[in-house]
Amino acid sequence: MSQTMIIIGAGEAGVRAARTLRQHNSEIAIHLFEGEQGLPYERPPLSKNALLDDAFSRKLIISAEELAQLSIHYHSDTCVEALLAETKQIRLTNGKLFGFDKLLIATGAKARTLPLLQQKGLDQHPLLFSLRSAADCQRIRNQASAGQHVVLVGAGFIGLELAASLRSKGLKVTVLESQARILQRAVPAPIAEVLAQSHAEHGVDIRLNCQIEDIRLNNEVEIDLAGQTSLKADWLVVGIGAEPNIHLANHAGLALENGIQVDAAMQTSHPDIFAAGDVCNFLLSRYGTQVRLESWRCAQEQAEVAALNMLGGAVQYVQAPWFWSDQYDLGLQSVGLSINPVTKIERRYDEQTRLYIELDSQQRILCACAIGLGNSVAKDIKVIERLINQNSIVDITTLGDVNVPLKSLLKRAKECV
Amino acid sequence: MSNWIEVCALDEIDEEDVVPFDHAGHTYAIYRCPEGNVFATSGLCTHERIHLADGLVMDDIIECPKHNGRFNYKNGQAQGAPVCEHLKTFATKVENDTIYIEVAP
Ligand SMILES: Cc1cc2nc3c(=O)[nH]c(=O)nc-3n(C[C@H](O)[C@H](O)[C@H](O)COP(=O)(O)OP(=O)(O)OC[C@H]3O[C@@H](n4cnc5c(N)ncnc54)[C@H](O)[C@@H]3O)c2cc1C
Ligand code: FES
Repeated sequence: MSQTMIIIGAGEAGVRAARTLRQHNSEIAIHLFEGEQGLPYERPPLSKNALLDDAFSRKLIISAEELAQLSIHYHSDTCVEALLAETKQIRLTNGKLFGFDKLLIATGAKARTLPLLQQKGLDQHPLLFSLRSAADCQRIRNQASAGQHVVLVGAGFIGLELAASLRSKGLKVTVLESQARILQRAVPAPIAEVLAQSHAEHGVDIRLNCQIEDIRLNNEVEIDLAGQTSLKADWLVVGIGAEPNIHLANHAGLALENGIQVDAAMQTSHPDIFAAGDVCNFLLSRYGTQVRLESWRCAQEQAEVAALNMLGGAVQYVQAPWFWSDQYDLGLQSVGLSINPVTKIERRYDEQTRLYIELDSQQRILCACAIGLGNSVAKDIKVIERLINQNSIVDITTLGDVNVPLKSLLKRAKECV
Repeated sequence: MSNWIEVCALDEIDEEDVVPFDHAGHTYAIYRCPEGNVFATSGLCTHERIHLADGLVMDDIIECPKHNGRFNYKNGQAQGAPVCEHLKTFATKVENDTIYIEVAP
């Protein structure tokens, strides 16, 4: 009898895994379970075009026709309630059991809530918003209208993209951030500076080093801040990061560590169970570290690795992770991880167009982050991505010299091989 | 009936690179492969209509600047998710060091 593969969660990771499984094996049965209604959709537009463009509709990852054509059994609106690792079964909320030969957990992450609001029993209040799903996005679309004052808690990527989108729609926007600058952990200071400047120019009030003492939600929002006058607003969005959906894995006794712990093959502590995407904390052997990422492309690449290994392959995730963000007319891209950098180099084309590169002691690039108008930094980041993945030793003078195209480094590296 | 449109001088595009070209409300991407030959495709990615000319050309492949969708610019073939729809391609010729593309009349 042919094998049964089960995938829990039809986000970027789940759908890519299903596609990859089918591409490499026409015999197996593939079941894809998703708690949300409708077809699988992309999340990145939810903080960008979906808010700016009134005519926006969900951007699907896969169509009903393609699901049928690939014989992927898609079970939408079907939440998996439990994972029985010992008997290799999953249980649905209606009690039904499904057995599997191999399982992929691709349950993603959920928006983190403010403990303060939870303690006060306000986490379901109609003036409180967060953004992870299309339904969350629809709530925000229904709520937002020009002239309102909205407060966003957290200056992470989603918070800042939301700030840009809502500001562009004519709302007054205040962002409260507890750190000393925006994107403290995610982005080097010279890049964050360009974004902060742009938000200031667009009239977004970003308050740093902010400590929230109390929040009251009635007909409006009132926020007490340490050492500042209280703030009033029409509604409130909390964007303080996401936490992995580990509930199933936890009860099944899988190893956890800020997400489901997997190796470079995306295998959990159970040999027949794999995990990929925002839910997993994986071994990125290039950097010799475990890391959990929330990145659209990484989720897909991890899923591809997981799927190949579910089919008996021996593939590892090795490439440098890539990420992007759009705010106003600026595009940010980053590649790699900042793990013990020794040398840091800035390549500044102009005030708004900057590339920041970090290298190890042997002059190999670890990571780079860039910002500029539109997609102007894409080419550079693509070149750097290749230099990282080829382990190239690079010439630091060229990196910093805007008059020498970066692609010349790639050519030289090619010739060395 | 053929409709050849002048694009630019040959040396305005580096080998293994791409430039944008707009004509009559359409946008095109004009490439030179590493061997120097000229190719043309429609200018916008089939995933989110992003200008491909901001992308990176490596060998026969253009990689979209936005989400890294890949196309073979010589035949327009999409190389896999996130891009599934192929790019339109257009005939090109070089005369007196000037590039022309053939567009629908
Ligand atoms: C607003 C927003 C903007 C973003 N912008 C960017 C960006 O600009 N660039 C970038 O690189 N990344 C961005 N991301 C991150 C990117 O979308 C994620 O990294 C990606 O979606 C992760 O894919 P995933 O499949 O791991 O998880 P998800 O996409 O979260 O999918 C997980 C799925 O599992 C389902 N599920 C969970 N538990 C169960 C269960 N028990 N039973 C059944 N189904 C279940 C969920 O309903 C969900 O659909 C953004 C994310 C958001 C929310
Ligand atoms: S716009 Fe080209 S890959 Fe998304």
